[in-house]
Amino acid sequence: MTAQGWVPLAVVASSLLPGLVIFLLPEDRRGLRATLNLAGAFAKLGLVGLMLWNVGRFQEYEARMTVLPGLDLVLRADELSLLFMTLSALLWLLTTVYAIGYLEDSPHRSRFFGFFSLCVSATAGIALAGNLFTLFVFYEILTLVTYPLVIHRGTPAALAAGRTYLLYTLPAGALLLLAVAASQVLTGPQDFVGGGYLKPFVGEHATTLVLLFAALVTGFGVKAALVPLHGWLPLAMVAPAPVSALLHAVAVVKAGAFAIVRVVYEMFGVEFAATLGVLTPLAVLAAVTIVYGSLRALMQDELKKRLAYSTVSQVSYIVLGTALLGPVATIGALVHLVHQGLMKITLFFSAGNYAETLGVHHVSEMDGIGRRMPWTTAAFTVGALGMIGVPPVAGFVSKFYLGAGAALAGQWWAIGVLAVSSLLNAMYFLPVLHRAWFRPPNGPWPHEDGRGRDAKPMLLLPVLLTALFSLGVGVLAAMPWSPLDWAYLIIRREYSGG
Amino acid sequence: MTGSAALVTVLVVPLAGAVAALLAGRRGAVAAGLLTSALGVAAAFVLAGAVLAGGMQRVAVGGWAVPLGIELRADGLAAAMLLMTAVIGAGIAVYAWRYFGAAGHHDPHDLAAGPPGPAGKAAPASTQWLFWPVWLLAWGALNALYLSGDLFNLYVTLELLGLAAVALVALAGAGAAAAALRYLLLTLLGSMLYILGVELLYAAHQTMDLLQLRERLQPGLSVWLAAALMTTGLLVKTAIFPLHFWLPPAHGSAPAPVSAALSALVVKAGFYLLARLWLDLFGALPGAGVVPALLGALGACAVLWGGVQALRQTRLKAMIAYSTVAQLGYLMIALLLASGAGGAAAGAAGGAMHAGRDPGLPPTGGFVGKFALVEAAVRAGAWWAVAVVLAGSLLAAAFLFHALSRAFADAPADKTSAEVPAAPQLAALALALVAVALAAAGEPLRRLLTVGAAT
Amino acid sequence: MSLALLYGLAGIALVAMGLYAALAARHVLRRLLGLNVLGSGVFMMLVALASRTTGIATRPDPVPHAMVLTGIVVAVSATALGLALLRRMHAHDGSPRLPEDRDAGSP
Repeated sequence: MTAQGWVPLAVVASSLLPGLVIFLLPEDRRGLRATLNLAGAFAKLGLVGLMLWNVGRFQEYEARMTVLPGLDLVLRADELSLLFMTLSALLWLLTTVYAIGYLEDSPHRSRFFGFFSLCVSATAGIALAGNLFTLFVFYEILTLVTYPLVIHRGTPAALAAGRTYLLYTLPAGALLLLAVAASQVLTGPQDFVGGGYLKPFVGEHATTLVLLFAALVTGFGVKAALVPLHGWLPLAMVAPAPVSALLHAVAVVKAGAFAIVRVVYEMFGVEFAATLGVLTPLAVLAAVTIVYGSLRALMQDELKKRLAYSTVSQVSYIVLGTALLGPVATIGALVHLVHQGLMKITLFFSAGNYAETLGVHHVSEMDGIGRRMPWTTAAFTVGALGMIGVPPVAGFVSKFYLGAGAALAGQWWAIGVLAVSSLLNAMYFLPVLHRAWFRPPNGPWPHEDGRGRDAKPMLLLPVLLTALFSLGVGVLAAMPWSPLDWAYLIIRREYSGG
Repeated sequence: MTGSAALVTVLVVPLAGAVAALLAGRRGAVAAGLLTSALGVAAAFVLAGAVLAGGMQRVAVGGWAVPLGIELRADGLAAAMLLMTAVIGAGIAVYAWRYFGAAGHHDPHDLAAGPPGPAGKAAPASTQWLFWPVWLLAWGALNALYLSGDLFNLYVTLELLGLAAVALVALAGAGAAAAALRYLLLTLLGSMLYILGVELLYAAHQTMDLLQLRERLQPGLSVWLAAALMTTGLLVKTAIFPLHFWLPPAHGSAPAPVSAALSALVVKAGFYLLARLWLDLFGALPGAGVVPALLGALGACAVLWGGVQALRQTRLKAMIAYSTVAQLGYLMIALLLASGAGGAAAGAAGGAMHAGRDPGLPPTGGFVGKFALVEAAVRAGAWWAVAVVLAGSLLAAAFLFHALSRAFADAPADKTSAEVPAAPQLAALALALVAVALAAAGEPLRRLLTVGAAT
Repeated sequence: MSLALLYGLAGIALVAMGLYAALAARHVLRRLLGLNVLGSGVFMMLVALASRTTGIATRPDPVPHAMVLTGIVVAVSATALGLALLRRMHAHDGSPRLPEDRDAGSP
C-alpha cells in the first residue's frame, strides 16, 4: 500500500460507515440521519477533489489487500476511475438532498438511506477497482444492495420488478464469476493497465479470449442494459424517484457501462480487442440498443418509462464509442459517461417533482405544466435538449465527438445510427416540451399538493443544479478540468503505449 | 503462556465453563457462558500464535506416550479451526444472551405466520438457561475433536459432540423430542460404523495414532473396509446427501442460536474429520482418488438438492437448514479439488473459510471461498464442478433474496422494529463483520493452515 | 478354535443383529436396544483383538481394554439420553415411534 493508500479506502468508507450507522437509527432521528448522510457526501466529495488535484499532477493512489495468494483487492485512483468517481460523488450529494426532501414522512427511511449509502459505496468501489476481481466484487455488492431499493415500496409491482432485476443480474453474476476465475487462471494476478494486459496470451488462447470477452460483456451488459439484456430497467421504474435517478445516472447502469470501458481499454486494450475482432459485434450490439431504446421510448406514455427507454438508448452511446477504434471516439464515450449522467438525473429529478407536486405521471397529463412549475420545467427542458444533442448543452459535445470518432474510424454507418437516434430523441422529447410550454392545462392536476407553487426547495435545488451543470459542461467544455479536458488526459494514457 | 499450556487451556476452558454454568444455575449461567466465551477466544488466539511461531504443539496426556497414551496435537489446521470456532462461538453466545434474554418472545425469524406446529413452539422459559452448559459442552467437545490425534479419542469426542448437539436440539421443548431422537439414533449409528472401522485399522496396524498410522498403513482389504465404514459413519454425522434427511427437522425445530451453532459448527466437525482422513491418512492408498471423486459427486447432488429444497421452504429456519445441506456439498467439492493436484490447495483453504452461513455473496468469506472453489475447479478442468457451484450459488442467492423480499413485503409500516431487541441484529452484523475480517485475514490464515500440513 | 476367535465371531454376529434391529425396527426402544447390541458386538471384537498369542508379548494388549471401558461409559450415557428423549416424545406425541414410522392405525 502506498503512503496515500488510505484515501481511496476513505472514499469508500465515507458512504459505507454512515450507511451502517443509519441502519441502526430509529425512524424519527431524521436530523441525525440527514447530518450523517450529508457529512458523508461532503467528505467523499472533498476526498475526490483532493485526488483529482493530485492525479491531475500524475500522482496515483493505491490501496492493496491480499485476500488469497495471487488474489488482491486493489483500490486505485487513476484518471479513468476519477472521471466516474467524481460524477458519482457529486450526484450522490445532490441525490441525497433530493431524497431527504422526497421521502419526508414516508416509512422505512433508515432502511432506505442505509442501502442508498451502501449502493454509493459499491459504486465507489467499482470506480476505484484496480483489477478485475475487485471490480467484480463491488459489482456483485451493488446487485445485493440495490435490490432492497428497487423493492423498497414493498408493493406487488415493486416485488415483481425486484424479481425481474434478480432474474437478469444473478445469472449475469454467475457468468462473471466464471469469467473472472477463468481469467485469473489464464493470466495470474494482473492489474488493470492502460493498453491492456491480455495481448501476450493471444498465441494459443485466441478462442478463449474471445469467449472471455463475450462473457464479460454479457455479464456487465446486463447492468448497462444492452439489448436484449435491458428488460429489468423499465420495470425498475416502480422504485421511488431518487432510486431511479441513482439507477440511471449515478450507480447501476453507469457501473455496467464503466466496467465495459475498463474491460475494453485496460484489460484487453482497444487495439488488441480490434485485432481479436470483438469490437465490431460490440458496436453493432450498441447500435441496435440505441435505435431500439429510442423506438420503445417513443411509444411510452408514462414519463418515467419513456425516460427509462431513453436511458437504454443513451448508455449505449458510451458502449458504441468504446467499440470504435480511435482516440476521438474514446473521448466521445468518456465524456458521455459524465454528460449522460448529468442530463438523465436532471430529467428524473424533474419527473419526480411532477409526480410529487402535481401527481403527474404521464406525458398526456403534462399539458401546460410549464406555467404551473416553470423552474422544474426549465430544468427538464435543458435535460431534454441535451439528450437530443442541441448545442450548447452537454449532449451535443458527446455526440459531436462520437460522430467525429466514427468518421475517423471509417465506420460511417455509426454516424447514420447517431443521426437516426437524434431524430428519434427529438421525436420523443420535443412533443413533451411542446405540451409543457405551449398547451393550456386540461383540467385540474391529478393530485395537487395544494401549495400552488413549484416543487419544494429541497426538490428544486438539486434539479436546478444538475441542469446548470449539464449546461455548464457543454458551454465550458474547452476549459481545463472539464470532463472533456479530463477525457483528453485519459486517452493520452491509453494510446501513448500502443 | 507456553504453547502446550495454551493447548490444555483451550480444552479446559469450555468444559470447566460448562460445569460452572450448570452449577451457577438459572441466574448465573449467562454470566458463566459469556465469561467462558471471552476466555476461550483469548486462549484460541494464544494457541494460534504459538502454532504460527513454533510449529505443531503437542501434549501427551498423563505423560503416557503413543501408542499406549493419547496425544493432543495442534497443527495449523487444528489451530485455525479452534480459532474460527471460538470466534463464531462468541458471536453465538452474544446472540443467545439477547435472544433468550427477551424471554418468551416469538421467534422473529419465522417468516410465515402459518401454523406453528408442535415443533415450532418456543422453548419453555424455565429450561432455557440449560442452553449455556450444553452449548459450552459442545464447544469443549469440538475443541477436543480438533486437538485429537488419535482415532479412538476422536470417536469419544464425536460422541460427546453428538450427545451435546442432541441435547441442544431437545432444548426446544417436548415438541422437538422426535427430531432430537432421530438425530440421536443416526449419530449413534454413525459412531458405531466409525468405531468398527477404527477397530479394523487397529487390528491390522496396532496403533490408533494418526501419525503412526500414516507411516504404517498397508493397503489391503481390511483397510478399505475400514475406510468405507468410517467414511459412511462420518457422512451420516455430516449430513451429506443422501444421508442428510435428519438435519432439516433437527435444525428447523431448534431455537435460533442453537440452529446457528449446529449448522455453523457442529456438522462441520464431521467434515473436518473426513478431510483429515482422506487428505492425510487414506489419501496415500493406491486408487484412493475414487473416493474423493465419489464424495464430490455426492457434494454436487447436495448443492443442487439442498438449494432447490431451500427455495421451497416457507420458514426461514427450514430454509437455512436446507442451505446448510447445500453448503456441506460445497465442502465435499472442495475436498475433491484439494485431494487432486497440489495447485488446487487454494480450494481447501477456500473451503475451510466456508464456515459462515452466508450463501457466498460478497463481501464475506463465503464469497472468497466460492471464488477460490471456482478458480480451483477451472484450473483442474472440472467443468461439472464449476457448473454445480454456479448453479448452487444462484439457488442460494435466490432464496436469500426471496427471504429478503418477504421481509420487505410483510413489514408493517409502523415502528414495530423498535420492539425487536437490537442485540440479535448486532450479533448477526458482528458475525458478518467477522466473515469480512476472515476474508481480509485470508493470507495469515493460509500461512497458519500450512503449518504441519501433510505434504 | 481359540477363545479369541470365538469372541470375535460372536462379536460379528452381535454387530449384524444389532445393525439389523437399529435399521429395521420402528419402535424406538427396539432401535436403542439394537444400537446397544451393536455396541456390545463392537466391544467383544475389541476384547478379542486384545488377546495376543503370537509375537513377543503374551499378555493381553491393554489399549483395546481401555477402549472398551470408555466405550461402555459412552454407550450408557447415550442410551440414557435416548431413553429420556423417548419418554418425552411418548408423553408429547403419544407414540413411541418416530413420526415417519407412525401408521394411522397402530399406536
